[in-house]
Amino acid sequence: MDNSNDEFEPLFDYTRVQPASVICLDDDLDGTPDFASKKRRISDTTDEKKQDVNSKDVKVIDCGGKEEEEEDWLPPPPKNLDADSKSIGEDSTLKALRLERQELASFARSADDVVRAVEESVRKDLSASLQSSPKSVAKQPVEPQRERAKLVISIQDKDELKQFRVYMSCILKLIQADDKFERLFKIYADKTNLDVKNLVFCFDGDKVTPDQTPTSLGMEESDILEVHVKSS
Amino acid sequence: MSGGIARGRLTEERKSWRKNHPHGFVAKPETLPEGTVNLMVWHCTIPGKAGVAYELTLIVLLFVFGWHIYLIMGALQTDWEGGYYPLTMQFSEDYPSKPPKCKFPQGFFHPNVYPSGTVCLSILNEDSGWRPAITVKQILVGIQDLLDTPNPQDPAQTEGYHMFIQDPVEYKKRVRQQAKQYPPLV
Repeated sequence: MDNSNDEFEPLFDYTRVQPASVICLDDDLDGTPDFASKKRRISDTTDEKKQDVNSKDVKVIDCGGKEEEEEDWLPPPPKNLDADSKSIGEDSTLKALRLERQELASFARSADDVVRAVEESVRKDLSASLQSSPKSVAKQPVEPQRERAKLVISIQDKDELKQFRVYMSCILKLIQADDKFERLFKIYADKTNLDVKNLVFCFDGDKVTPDQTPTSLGMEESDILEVHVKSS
Repeated sequence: MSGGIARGRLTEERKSWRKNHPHGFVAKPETLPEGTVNLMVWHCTIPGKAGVAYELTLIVLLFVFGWHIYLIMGALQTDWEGGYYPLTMQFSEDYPSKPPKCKFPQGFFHPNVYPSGTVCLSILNEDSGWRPAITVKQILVGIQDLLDTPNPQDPAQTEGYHMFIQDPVEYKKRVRQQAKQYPPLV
């Protein structure tokens, strides 16, 4: 009995600590639940108490409903009330949630362990490769030269407004400057589902043949190849 | 020194053109027979505007205004499509304070092109629309626009102007005929 009353006290505190501007409204609204609670406190039977809880709930929710139209910050109290009345049910769900959280935490720990193990293995590999340095030194001078020879060339479609961006992302190719265009043409045709025979590639207004290379055309970084689709 | 400014600017223009330019357009400095590049003369190609843009606006307008708009839009479709028109740009040592001279082939059919082939366009006129900030790309796109939308206030040749004013049907026929004279280079 006392406990249940205690549970509802916060509600009344909420309504009493309202800003001065809303006082007239609150007086009306406070009045009804107060009267109701006093009346029902007099009749002290457990069954009625339960009804009290329900009826108070309903009335408070009604107040909330009225005030929701005028004030935004009042709805929380009725929700808290509901939560209090369902506290037993929520306790079990809270316990379940805590359990889940613990499980997840342990899971994360195990994942961390895995990551650490991988890092360690990578370090071992690295140190092993560093130890075999004579071989890697021989390889390294070759690779930078290849990188220098690479060119980024974009292929521009007729409907550039719509498709240019898409093509930019998927067709942008790092091609080696000594590669023949044949390979790039094939890749482009595959991506666009078009026949290579129907595609004409142009650079600076001149047709590009499959056996030409970027270097033979004097192409530079981020130059544009234009694609024309033959209407056949 | 001014020549240095012109060449520096043209080098930059060429660099930015290579990285990005509208589809179908060509603009490259002249290569002399001995292999040297002459930055002061550029050989360009301007493609006739395709009707695609109109088709798209048409679809939008159909939703807004209904089917009768189709007739109006149909009349607006470009007859220049399919042609790739050669244009020569001649830059002076005073570029970019003075605009380049832009020339189509002699006798090019268009109300705003002089019989010599020189294009008459406000942004190419030192005394009216030219600003040093206008790029080669903007000039070429501007001329492409002019092809499709001639300016009858500023005629440069009698034949094209009279036909455009007096006989729109014959004008369209003539423009389509000219588009076939300049097929794609590839």
